[in-house]
Amino acid sequence: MPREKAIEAENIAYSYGDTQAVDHISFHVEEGEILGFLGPNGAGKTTTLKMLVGLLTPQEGRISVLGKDIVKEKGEIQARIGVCFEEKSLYEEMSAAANLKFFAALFGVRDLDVAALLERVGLSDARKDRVANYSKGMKQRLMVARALVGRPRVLFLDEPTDGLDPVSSEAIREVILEEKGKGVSVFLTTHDMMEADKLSDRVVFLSEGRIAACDTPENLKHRYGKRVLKVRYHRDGELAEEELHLEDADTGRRVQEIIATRRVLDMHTEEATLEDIFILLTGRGLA
Amino acid sequence: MSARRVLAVMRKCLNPRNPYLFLALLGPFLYVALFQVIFGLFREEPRVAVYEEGEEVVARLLEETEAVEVVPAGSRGEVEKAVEERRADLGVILGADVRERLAAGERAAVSVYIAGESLAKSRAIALAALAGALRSLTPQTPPLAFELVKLGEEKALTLMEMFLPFFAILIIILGAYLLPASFLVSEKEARTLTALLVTPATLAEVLVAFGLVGMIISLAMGAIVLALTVGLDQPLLLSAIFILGSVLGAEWGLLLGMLSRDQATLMAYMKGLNLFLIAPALFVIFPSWPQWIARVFPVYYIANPVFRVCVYGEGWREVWWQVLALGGFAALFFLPLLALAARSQTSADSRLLGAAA
Repeated sequence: MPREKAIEAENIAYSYGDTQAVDHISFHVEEGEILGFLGPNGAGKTTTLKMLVGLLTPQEGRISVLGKDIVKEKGEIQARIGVCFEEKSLYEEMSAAANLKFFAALFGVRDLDVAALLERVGLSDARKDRVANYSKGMKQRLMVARALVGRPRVLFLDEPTDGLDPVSSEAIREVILEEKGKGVSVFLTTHDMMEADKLSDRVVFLSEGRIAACDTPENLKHRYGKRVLKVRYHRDGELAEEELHLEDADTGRRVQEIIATRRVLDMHTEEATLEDIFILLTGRGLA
Repeated sequence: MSARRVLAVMRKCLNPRNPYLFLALLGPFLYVALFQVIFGLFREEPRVAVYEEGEEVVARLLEETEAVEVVPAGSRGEVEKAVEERRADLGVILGADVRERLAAGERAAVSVYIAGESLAKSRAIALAALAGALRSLTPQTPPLAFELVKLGEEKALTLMEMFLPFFAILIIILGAYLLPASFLVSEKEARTLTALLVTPATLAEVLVAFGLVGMIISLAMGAIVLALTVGLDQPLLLSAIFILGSVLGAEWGLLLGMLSRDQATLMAYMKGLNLFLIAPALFVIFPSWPQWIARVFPVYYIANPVFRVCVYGEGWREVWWQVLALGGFAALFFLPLLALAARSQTSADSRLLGAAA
């Protein structure tokens, strides 16, 4: 039985003057699914996110979140989503706890366990410190915690681990996976292909406002990957290397021949990365 | 519109670390205090030290003239000391028989000390006041009768009363106008406005909260400053003027806040606009200037009615049209605010919601 759609975008478009930022794209996110929205800077990821959360009204097309229209029922949608922007947007003169309590008041959440929430993102020891004194990673973790204050059904995360230290990045990834485990849908924009590969159930490749591909990372790798077996061995006292295509009929026989020489150094399949596939499909990198 | 969310945003605004809040709360007091100190140092009434043997009659007569300030002295030596130390411009010693001799129409000797550094104007006023007081003790009728014709305002204004229009505008500027603008621009700079607008809070709720904080502080400061300076004789009428004035101020502050990208832009706008905000007060202070010019400025309809009510005791009957005009301006400026707020809901114009939007 197919899952309900938490987000559904149909043919949405947005332009800034003559620049078409988002060019008639359609996609959906199912309940409890993490959708990685991948693309280089300027691809239209953040504009799409702003349309999805109601900060920008789509100039064309239609968006529904949790079955409600973002234009007509924005208030109801915003009460059930959590958003974490790429750029820091915290009240720096306030403490972490005060930031969360303020947002809880806006969501009408009276029984928020601030200490437990800060514990989840590893900030319980610094909960009374002014946010201005936090490191970049701590601020980002607090932004993620703030996105969870309203107990959202859909999370929108814009480059949540960009430029962070490994500890902070891992803490945020854990939280994302915990939320997914609770059935929360996650719309994750990133240009970090490794992260997208680790977290996403499906990924969308966005380039110049258009969708270049949309599928699971495994399917993309299967479809566009090289599927070669790389073998290194000694031949006549020298190091030799061969790439054998797994689909070729002779590959099995050739592998047996090389193994029979008993001089194999290593042998492994070479999978394409999402970045390789992105470049293959769009002709440009993610940087 | 949720009252709960508006209150939550208002509570957040009352952050003691906000320098503008500090300025709005303390600014009016500082200005009034500074004003009183400055003009207290340059007060114009000449001071006369008086020692009278027997009953103090001349000192009382001098005080009644309100032209001089009487410095009490308990002995001849104290009079001399007061003049030497420049605590008095003039020193007067009246013997016990002076009043009796004057009453009998005889000549009497009065010792007068004049401070060497006193102004000629102060000496002339003090001596004329003394001569008038002493003449009133003689039985003769003066050979000349003066007819007094008052020119200009009937009432002699104190400096605090004269500058009341300036204070009224200042209270609105620092509270209702500056605070909402600074709240909005601070939110844009910190990109927190965008974060607020993806919660159930709407832009209208945020703007109302910012405006209300400014208005409440303006009203409170207005009440306190008026009570401390000229009194609050007609609280309902004054409240109506200050409420409408602070609504207008808040609208301007929010408009300016929406159009300003950052604090530097806001301050540049404010520097340019402040002349237009303060100018009407000058027209009220100097009534000989053509008043029709002042009536073009909306702020005139705050400064003038406050002045007329507090200083001349005028009521609804006299100032109703000015209060109505103020209400009209408040309604008029609501329209561009509404248009700009509606535009910011759907626009990608980064000035309106900050760079993050």
